[in-house]
Amino acid sequence: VRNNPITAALVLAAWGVFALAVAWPTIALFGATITDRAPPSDGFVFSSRQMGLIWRSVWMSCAATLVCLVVSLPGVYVVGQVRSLSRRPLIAGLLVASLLCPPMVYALGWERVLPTSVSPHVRCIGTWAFWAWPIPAFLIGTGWARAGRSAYEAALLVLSPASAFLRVALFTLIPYIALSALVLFVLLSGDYGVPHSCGLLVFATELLVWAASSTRAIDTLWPAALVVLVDGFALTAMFIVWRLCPVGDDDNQPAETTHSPSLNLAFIAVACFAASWLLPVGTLVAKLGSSEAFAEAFRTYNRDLVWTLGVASVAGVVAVAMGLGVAALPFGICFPGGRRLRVVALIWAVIFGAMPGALVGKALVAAYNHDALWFIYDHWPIVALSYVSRFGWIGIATGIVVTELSQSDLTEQAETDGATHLDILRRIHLPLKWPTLACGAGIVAVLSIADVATSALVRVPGPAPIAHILIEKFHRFEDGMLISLSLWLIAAALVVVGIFVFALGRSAARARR
Amino acid sequence: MISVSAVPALYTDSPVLSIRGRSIMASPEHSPVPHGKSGHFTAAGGLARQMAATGDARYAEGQAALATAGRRAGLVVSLVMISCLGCKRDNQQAQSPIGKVTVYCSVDEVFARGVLDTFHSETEIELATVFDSEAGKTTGLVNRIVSEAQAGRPRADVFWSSELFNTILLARQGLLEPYDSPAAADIPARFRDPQHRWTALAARARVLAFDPKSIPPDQVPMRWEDIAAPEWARQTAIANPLFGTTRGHVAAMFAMWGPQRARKFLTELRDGGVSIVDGNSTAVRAVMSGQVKLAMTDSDDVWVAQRSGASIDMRYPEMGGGGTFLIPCSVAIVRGGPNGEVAHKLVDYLVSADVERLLAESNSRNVPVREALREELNMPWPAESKVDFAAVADAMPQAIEAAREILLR
Repeated sequence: VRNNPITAALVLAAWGVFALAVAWPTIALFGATITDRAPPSDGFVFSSRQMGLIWRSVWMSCAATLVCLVVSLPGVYVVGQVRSLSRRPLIAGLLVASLLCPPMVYALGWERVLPTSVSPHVRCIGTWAFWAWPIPAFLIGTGWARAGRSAYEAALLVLSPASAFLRVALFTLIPYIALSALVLFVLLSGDYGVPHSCGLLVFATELLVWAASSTRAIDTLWPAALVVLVDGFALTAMFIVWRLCPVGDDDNQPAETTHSPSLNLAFIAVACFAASWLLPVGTLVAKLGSSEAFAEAFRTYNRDLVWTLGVASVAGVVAVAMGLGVAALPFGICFPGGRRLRVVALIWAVIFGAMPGALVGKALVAAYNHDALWFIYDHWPIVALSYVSRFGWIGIATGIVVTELSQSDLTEQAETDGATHLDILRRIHLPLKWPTLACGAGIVAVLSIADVATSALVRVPGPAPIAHILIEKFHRFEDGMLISLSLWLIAAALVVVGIFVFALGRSAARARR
Repeated sequence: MISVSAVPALYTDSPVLSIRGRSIMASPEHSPVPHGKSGHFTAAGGLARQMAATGDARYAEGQAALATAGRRAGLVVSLVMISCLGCKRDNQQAQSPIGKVTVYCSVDEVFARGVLDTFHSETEIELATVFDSEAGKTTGLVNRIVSEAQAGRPRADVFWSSELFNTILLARQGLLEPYDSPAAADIPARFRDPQHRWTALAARARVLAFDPKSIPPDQVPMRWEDIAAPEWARQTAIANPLFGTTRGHVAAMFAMWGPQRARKFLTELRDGGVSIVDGNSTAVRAVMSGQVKLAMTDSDDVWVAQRSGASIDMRYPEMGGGGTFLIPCSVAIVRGGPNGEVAHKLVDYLVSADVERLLAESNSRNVPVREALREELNMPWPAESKVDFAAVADAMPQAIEAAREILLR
């Protein structure tokens, strides 16, 4: 494969971002720990309180993951039936719309929907599940478009579409279900906003307390080891499932099913969307009362809103660009052993991203709180970098999905014909896979907007992240402002989704022509 | 020949194909010489030759589409960047050449923002503010000031804290700059550091919040120690004692009662099953939702809850020495901050009677330390246990250790 200086420059830029966001903070964190030369405040033991909180986090995340997987099943069916979301912009838009609102906003909506007698644990689990269900719907549904189709088609001879899906197809999709469960578990167990909004203490909320209450890195690093341990167990469990139930490829799967799709499941999928999005959001709108509060919120907090959306968008774009650069433009272009380095980068980013947000924030402070690095530490780039640190693994995973798991025929042809890596990236991956890349950037952006734990430690002088303002409003019982700001976030998400659906629709129309 | 089924589904739906007009990959007459299912081109330069031969300009059109998409994406990214930078630019345009001050502020954003905006509009001095998060109330900013000083480059000019005792500890570490503000001349000496490193004002009281529909007011404990009784402890919520005013309150217990009595109180609370929540307002919410009957909290949390229409009231329990514990806010200049001169102006404003009045008239209803202002606003000074602030700061490390050991392990 030929290369050129531009390719090399892009490679170095992508790896440079990786170094700034992941590698250097990790080194700085461990460096600070070693420099402190002191044990944790409570010694090298896990207190019963820490064990209790990690247990609460684990069981709540497991319960939410389970509920989320069940709730997502109709969505899986719909996505699997559609097979290519780029052909169905409306469905893609509905999935993205649910996901593109910070989960804390849903928590505030559900708080107003449900009676006060409902347990905060139930509310937290429900909020998580009804926010995150598009993730497994997309992952498992996309998997179903690749595997398990033949068994499903055969089952259709004797079963209804819904029964064939639930009783046959699902069992062929166990690896994808396991992958979805892992992603959900890691995301939910590290979430701060929803448990806090439900008035619950979990490990992630408490870890931020420990991080904020001590200047020493070890006081955060040591308890965070529990999270790494738990995530390690989850990862191991997923690999065991993958070994026991390998993914089956359908080489001869039929292009289109000859049976009518299940209207019941499609109806339930629409109901899921309505319940998960319209109900809490509609309640917020109904409770707002007057539009004056809505306008007042914008007048007061427009800078914070724009700043938050801007920094989160930059983080999303940078994370995906970094991932694409790392995945599509192997380091081996410039240096030998690049492909192995890429695997190391992914694993590094995943482990770093799976660490609790408070620890990531601590690492960023350790890395950039130096006189020479004031231009990062004092300004918004450190906030954007912290988001890339925490969610960069999504960007790298997106890059790998785009470049490795698809289009192998086409890229191989191009490589054979002498296309450079940059050509392949510019003329194949970007034009063909922009919806996936946009979704990856969008997910990183929305997780960044919802982030509290990391940004609490890397706040910069100037506008405040909107998630912190929402929490402040929540604590100050300022419901009007709270709802208004939430609705502004939803409005911003709707604009993005609208543009996405419009662009996807145009692409699909062109494809049909 | 590359068959359609051999190409991933997303490929066949791709927008690029539609731009091309027709699918080369799916159409035999446009396919290059294939090599089995993998789709390798075996003819030399197949793809390039195909571009020239077919005139379909596969890459060229793809590139054109990408260029369009790239321009759009570039536009979007540029807009985002401009909006980010625009915030900065707005600030710079709004400020005058007078200068800029960086404020670390743990006073609640809803109350502090108005005060700081007023200062900005009156002086045109730009303010860059870092508010503390709810999770790390005051302690987070204090640790930030310490770690930035350790790194050799303090970023903050002014520290405006919602409590006093951590400010005293910062002063003892030599991290605060002395400044005798003329605007603080009418503040009683008790609320001013003899070495002028901090000034205290606008106090809040530590109170017991309760729902009068749930407990008749005459049954609410009269003394702080009463809530350690088993029947009350399991019905009580307190914020994490490592943070904010709860931290100072526990330290005050150690200062006033002595370590033995204070540890006994904490132990009885723990054994009685007290609920530890992550903030004072969360404790109030726990009372509002009926999870508990009492909350150890600050007076402002009850005021704002009452204003929101909640059925909630408060008592000022006796701490010893005649009343409850009052915690003033504090203002100080950070040693070595980047904008020392301009910082004086902000401190002059923050310690002024105007700001005390603003905070007293806000939903927070902080009680002014200036007697004349209290009389003017008709705000009585609650019955207070006159604890020595320095003694509370002295007791803080011991109190934190005890709270960590007894309540948080």
